[in-house]
Amino acid sequence: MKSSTKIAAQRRRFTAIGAAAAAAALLLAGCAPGGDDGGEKTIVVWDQQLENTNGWAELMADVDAAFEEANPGVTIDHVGQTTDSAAHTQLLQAAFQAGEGPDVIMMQPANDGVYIYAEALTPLNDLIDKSVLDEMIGLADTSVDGQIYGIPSGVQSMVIYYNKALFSQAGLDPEAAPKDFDELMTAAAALKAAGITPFAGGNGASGDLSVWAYSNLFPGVGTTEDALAVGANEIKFTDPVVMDTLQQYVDIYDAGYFDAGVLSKDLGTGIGDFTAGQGAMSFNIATLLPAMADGNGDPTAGGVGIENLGVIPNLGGPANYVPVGAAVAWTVPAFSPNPDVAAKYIEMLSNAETQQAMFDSFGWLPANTAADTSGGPSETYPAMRVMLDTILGGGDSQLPAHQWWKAPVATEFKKQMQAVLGGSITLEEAMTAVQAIQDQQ
Amino acid sequence: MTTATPAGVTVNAVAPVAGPKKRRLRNDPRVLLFVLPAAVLLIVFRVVPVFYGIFLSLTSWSGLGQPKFSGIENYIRLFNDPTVAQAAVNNLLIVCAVPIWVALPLLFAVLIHEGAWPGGILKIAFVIPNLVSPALLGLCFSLLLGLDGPINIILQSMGLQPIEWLANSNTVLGAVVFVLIYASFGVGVLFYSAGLASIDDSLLDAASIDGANWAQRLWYVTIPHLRSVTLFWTVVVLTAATTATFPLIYTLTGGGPGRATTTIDLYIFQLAFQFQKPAYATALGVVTFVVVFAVILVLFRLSRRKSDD
Repeated sequence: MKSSTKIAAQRRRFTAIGAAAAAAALLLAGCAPGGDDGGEKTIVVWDQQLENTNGWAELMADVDAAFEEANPGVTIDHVGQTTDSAAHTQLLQAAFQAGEGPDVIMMQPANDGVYIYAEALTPLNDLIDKSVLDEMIGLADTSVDGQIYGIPSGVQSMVIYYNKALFSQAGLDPEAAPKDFDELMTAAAALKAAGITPFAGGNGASGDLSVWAYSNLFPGVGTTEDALAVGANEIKFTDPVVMDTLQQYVDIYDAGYFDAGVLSKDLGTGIGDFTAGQGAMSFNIATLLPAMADGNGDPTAGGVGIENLGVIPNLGGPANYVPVGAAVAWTVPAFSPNPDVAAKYIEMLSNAETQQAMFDSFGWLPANTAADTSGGPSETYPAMRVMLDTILGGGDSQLPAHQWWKAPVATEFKKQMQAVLGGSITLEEAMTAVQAIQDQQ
Repeated sequence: MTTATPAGVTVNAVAPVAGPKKRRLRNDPRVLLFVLPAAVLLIVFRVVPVFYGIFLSLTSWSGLGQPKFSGIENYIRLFNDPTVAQAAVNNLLIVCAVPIWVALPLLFAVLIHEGAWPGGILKIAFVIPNLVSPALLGLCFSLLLGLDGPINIILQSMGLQPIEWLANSNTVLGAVVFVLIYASFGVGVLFYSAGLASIDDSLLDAASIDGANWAQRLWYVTIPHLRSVTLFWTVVVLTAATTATFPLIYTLTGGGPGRATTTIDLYIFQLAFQFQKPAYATALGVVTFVVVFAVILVLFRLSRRKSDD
């Protein structure tokens, strides 16, 4: 995993980045707002991943040092913030209401973050170097009416992980992953017959498993346009494209292919079950691949094993597309007194070198297409190469289907699907209730 | 009346009446100085937010920018929101458990007071859940009540089928009520124990001599003497049942499955911090405050009338 040689290489890379950014520093020095202590500026960064992703803090320390070196008089104050969406919202509301706080905020793309706060964010179109913007994918998920309000820290996708050893145990070919829903069900049946739980998972409390499963299954049924149309309320939740997708999810549950405790376990426990080998497959997100394999290098965190982890990047179908969109994005609040410096800092976080370093260090999938993903985790994790070939392979791509919904709709969906799986209401009743909330938005 | 001291000085003998002194204190402007700090804190952190909340509830504020006045739009919307109706029903169902919530600690306190059970140890044991954060308690019970949790393991060891306590719409609210009562039970026992200690034992002895059995002593002597404690505890649990279930339910069920355990306070939280509708959330908060305040007022009135009788 992360060796001292690799860290040293990264440090050298950042020294080079620092030198390259020196020119930008000279420019910035000339546009320092008056009133700062002799041009001294502190850029406060709120970062949700700082304490939640192995290796993130170390890499950010290097980026910050490189930026400070390239921009004399600028200090980066990198603050770790919660990933809990409700607690994070409270922080953001307090900051935006007070009109003061950090200069750079990491937040979710689209309806979970950037779209909500767009009116209080600084457009970055003219503050970030065009060459960097041209290299980025996922900007549509952080833009409103052509204005770019956030730069993706990476990209996110939905995948199904599987345990190759358990597949072999059930007589399945571990190298021939299911390609569509029918093959998925056939594999699940074989696993169950062999006494293996086909799907680990937890849908208790938050109900997040339902949206993950939905976004995993949707590309096999609907098109990317369908996903957008559902989000925009042009296609109802009672439409066959939604109902057919959800029926697949319900079929998996009704066949007894999920862990018996799926209804009451939380999402994290379900994921833990998969990494502990207590389930053969897991509806999941792409950025967790290193964690699923070997705990992202943390021997105490578990994992099914580097060679043992298989990945199904997308399930084929008549309207197949690969859901790939922005991961958490960097934004500059409108109240920042130093938007130009903050934007330049984001530019450094987004350039090919940094995004490649993020990929190399902890498998964060780059949104900068110029980043080289041939080394690092691609060499370490065989499944990473399989996943990258699909999700960064170009072509039609879009955010996972559920990420186009507004928060009340997503919450209602999760709650209603809990009731459907629990058997207290029908799928149609559930989606009628979700549509009622959608109509109120 | 006058009295002569040994030194021959004559002084007025003043009867020890507290009234004039109290009146003097009340009229003394220096008293205000002592009251002022607490009053300022109360006004700034309690009174002003209430009025600001009422103002926000009349706006279309999204948490960003300046609030825009929208009249009673939020209040009208409340009555058409199916989740509000469902949450109100859930709160009412929880309130239905208030008699048990009030009576159970009383029963245990009486048993401990009469020496039936070892008081010290039990009181400590009962209070421990109160020392734990409700959110943590919710997490603990989500594990205890899970399909493969200890409670289902016990059921299975008895030859019974495991139950999805938290995932079944028919059992989940009962499970929530159980945990809510468990979470506050110990404090109730403490309050009632304090009240029991103040009852003159001779009253109970006299009742015994008159032939009253244990249940009659409880009904005719103990409970009437604990009226003020009972009223206080009822107000506490009633308030908890309607406005303070959020942290526990948030971690225990998240309000599901479906909306089976979504309560008003959980929905207020979701509206404000998940759905970005703080003004609408505030309107719901204001209505909840008015309803709970009215219920408590009625409770006090009824209790006072009973006392007068």
